[in-house]
Amino acid sequence: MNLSKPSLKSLPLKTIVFQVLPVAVTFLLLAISLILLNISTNDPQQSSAINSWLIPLNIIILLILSSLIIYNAIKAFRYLHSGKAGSHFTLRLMYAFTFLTVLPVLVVSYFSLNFIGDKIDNWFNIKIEGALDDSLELARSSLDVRMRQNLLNLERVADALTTIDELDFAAFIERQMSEMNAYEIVLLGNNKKVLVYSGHDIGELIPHFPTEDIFRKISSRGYMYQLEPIGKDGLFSRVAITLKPGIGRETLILTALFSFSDKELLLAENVEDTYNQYQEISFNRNQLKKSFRLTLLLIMLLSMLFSIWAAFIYSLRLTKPVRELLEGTMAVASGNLRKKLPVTEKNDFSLLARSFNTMTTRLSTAQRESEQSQLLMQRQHDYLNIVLDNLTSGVITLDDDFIIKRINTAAEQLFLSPLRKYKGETLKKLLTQTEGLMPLCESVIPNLDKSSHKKEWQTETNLFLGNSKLTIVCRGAILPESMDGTRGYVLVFDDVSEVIQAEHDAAWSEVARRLAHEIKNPLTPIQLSAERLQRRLLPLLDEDSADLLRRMSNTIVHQVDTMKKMVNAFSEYARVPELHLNNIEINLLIQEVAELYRMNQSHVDIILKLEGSPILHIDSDRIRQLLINLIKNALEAMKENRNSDITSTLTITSKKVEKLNKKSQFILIVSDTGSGIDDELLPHLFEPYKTTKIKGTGLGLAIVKRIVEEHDGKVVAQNNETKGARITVFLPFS
Amino acid sequence: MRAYKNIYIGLLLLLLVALPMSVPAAQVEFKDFKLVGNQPKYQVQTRVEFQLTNYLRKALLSGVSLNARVQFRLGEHRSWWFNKYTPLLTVHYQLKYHALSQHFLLTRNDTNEHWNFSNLPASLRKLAELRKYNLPNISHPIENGDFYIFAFADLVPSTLNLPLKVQSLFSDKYKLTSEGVLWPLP
Repeated sequence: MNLSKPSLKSLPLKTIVFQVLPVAVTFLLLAISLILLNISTNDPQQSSAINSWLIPLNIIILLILSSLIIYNAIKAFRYLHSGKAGSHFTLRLMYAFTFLTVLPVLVVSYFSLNFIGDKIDNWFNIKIEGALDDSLELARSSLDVRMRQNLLNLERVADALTTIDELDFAAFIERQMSEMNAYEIVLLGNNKKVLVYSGHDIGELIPHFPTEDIFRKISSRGYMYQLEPIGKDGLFSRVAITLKPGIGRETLILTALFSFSDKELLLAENVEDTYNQYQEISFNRNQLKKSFRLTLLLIMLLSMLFSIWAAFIYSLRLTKPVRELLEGTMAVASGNLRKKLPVTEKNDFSLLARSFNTMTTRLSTAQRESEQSQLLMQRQHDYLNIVLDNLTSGVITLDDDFIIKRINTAAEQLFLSPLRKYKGETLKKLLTQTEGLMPLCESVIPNLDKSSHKKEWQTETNLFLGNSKLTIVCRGAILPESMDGTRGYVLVFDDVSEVIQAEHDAAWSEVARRLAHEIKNPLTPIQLSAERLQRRLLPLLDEDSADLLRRMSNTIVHQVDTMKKMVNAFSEYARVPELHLNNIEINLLIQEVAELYRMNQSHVDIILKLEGSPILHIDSDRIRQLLINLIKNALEAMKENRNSDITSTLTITSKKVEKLNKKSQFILIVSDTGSGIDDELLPHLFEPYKTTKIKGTGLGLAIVKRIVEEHDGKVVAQNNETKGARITVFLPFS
Repeated sequence: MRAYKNIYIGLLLLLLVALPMSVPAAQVEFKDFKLVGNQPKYQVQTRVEFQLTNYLRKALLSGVSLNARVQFRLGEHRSWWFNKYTPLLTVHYQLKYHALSQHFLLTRNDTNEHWNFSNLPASLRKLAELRKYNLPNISHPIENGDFYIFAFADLVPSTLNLPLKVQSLFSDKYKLTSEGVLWPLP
């Protein structure tokens, strides 16, 4: 596992382009902007070039930072709404960082803004302003002295001019200008016309000569002097004086412009400049305050936005390992034990991530082992289920509270009821609510009594289910103790009806065979002896005795015949012939037998409802015997209860039925309109000697049952809903 | 009646909309404008009267210089689009107060001429004068169109050089501007 710090080279290009580069560019721009802003603030006049692109630069930075913050804010809120792991924590951290960074900036901004205002106001205190006014006044006074001297000099020139000829004015003035070191001397006429001009710069000065101003000022006192700033040449003193060359001559004005000494000029200019600058700045002090406040606000805003953005970035970066850990935990909680956390940096979180990875690895191994165990258990469970479902015995398992945990298919088939719906219910409920199982409740429930401490028990119960009598043997046992300390019970149900019936039938067969053997042999000699006695003694006896003998011997013969028939019937019942199975179209056989009884003494209509032409693999002689027995039984039943007013009918129905297990079954129904079968007799109808008929051996239906069982079939007797009874024979298709 | 009512309501609304649009009186006005000459040489003569506000007057006396600008353009009338303007000439003046001499100094920047006045009205009068001023030669063919001379003037107080050039925010607030005026070429 590489725990070295990630270098820039190891970062993916996407991270460099979308994360590292914007941070670096913004930080660089912000640094440049703040440096330039500092230079600009320190010396605004020298940094006008910087100022011209400082605003666009700051606007760009503001836009970038605002966009980044908006992008990050939207991302954060989306992240929160997505409900991803750690979103609340990240957002809370963002708020905290933002608050912690913005609050000091705001406090500093507030005090700085006030401080700037106070500081700038302190620049312009009254003392400085007064000192500047005084210095200006002082400079004026100083220059006034110089101007008065210039005026005196000009007065001397003016006096001299009154004594010389007008034609010499120009030369005299020129000479005087040099002597006085004047910048220019001008002699003006009363009509403001320049009479003589002597100066250094004729072309520039004459057009802007302040004639009006001089005349206005000189008119009151006869002289004037003033400071006169002239373009780039600097400050001059303008002096003027009136002169009257002679009586009757026009008044002239002599004006001169004197320059000051370099030192005076320098000092005066310094005072002037300083005063002007101070006045200008003082006048614009509010602008200045606003300007500095605006600059400060901009710096604060940039710092604040950068701080917010940094807070966002840092929050996301700081919470990334926590979010990854949370995601990992949630993944593990949702079952993904293969989740691994990236371990990149050597810090506490990497240790945590490594521990998490170790934990998931171990959990994964444990889960794999558990899955294998579960699979093994499931296989065993399936195996048990298959075994239970394929048992012929019905099995019901119960828990400690006699709640049914499992019922197999054989139990449902045995009790002819969908018992699985009682899974989770009590056994008592199943036994009481299922039709026909109440006797089982009475015999089983007492054995489940915990106080009896019986580990194993067995009970036999007779049930009447689906018009059949079933003998059920129930064996119960206590199950071994489970892991949670509870014990359960298992109940195994076996239908022993057929075993008992087989034993019953075997006993009857043995009785019949012995009867046939022991009784049939002496019957013939008895009959022959009775006939011989009649033949020998009849001629020897008188009429009355002969008649008595005749009647007695006839009775003996008839009774012996009857006994022969009975013995033959028993013989037939006991006989177990070998079946000769052939493919027989059974409906033809039914028609054939039915035709034999079409004309019967009972005047019963025989109706055939035979479907199709099914061919069965049967012994035709035995099935014929079966049909004869069924038809005869029905006709006899109807004969005994014959009502002349109502037409009796015997309906024979045959059909082929597809069963659920895809096995076909042939069904033969012989239905009569007799008095029906007594309810008491119904369960024992197919047992020998179970009959209500006056005549007959009571073996007809017992033989029917035997023939059906020989063909692996089943026979059921039921009373019709309206009248009479019906016997249904089920024969399998081979 | 309903139609008249609608007209009245419309007029009332128009009046209400028009009321707030009352334009303040111009503080810079062109007066006595004359345009003489023929293509390509034209000469203009006018007076641009600047009526200083109290703020500007106070600013001037506090050492703030005022920069005046008079601009002339050659305009061409267009029926389907904005009129086309070609700059011809701009005259720049600067007026400042000299505290030591208590004079007002007027400098024309383009010709480097300067004057000083002991009072403000005199300096403003000088600032207003534009006598027989020759416009640059107009070589553009003007026979087939509606051409005119468009002029406007403004006066802006100079400001301190402040960081971020925020001074422009404040100077524009006190700026005086004339309405644009135009004279068809003869």
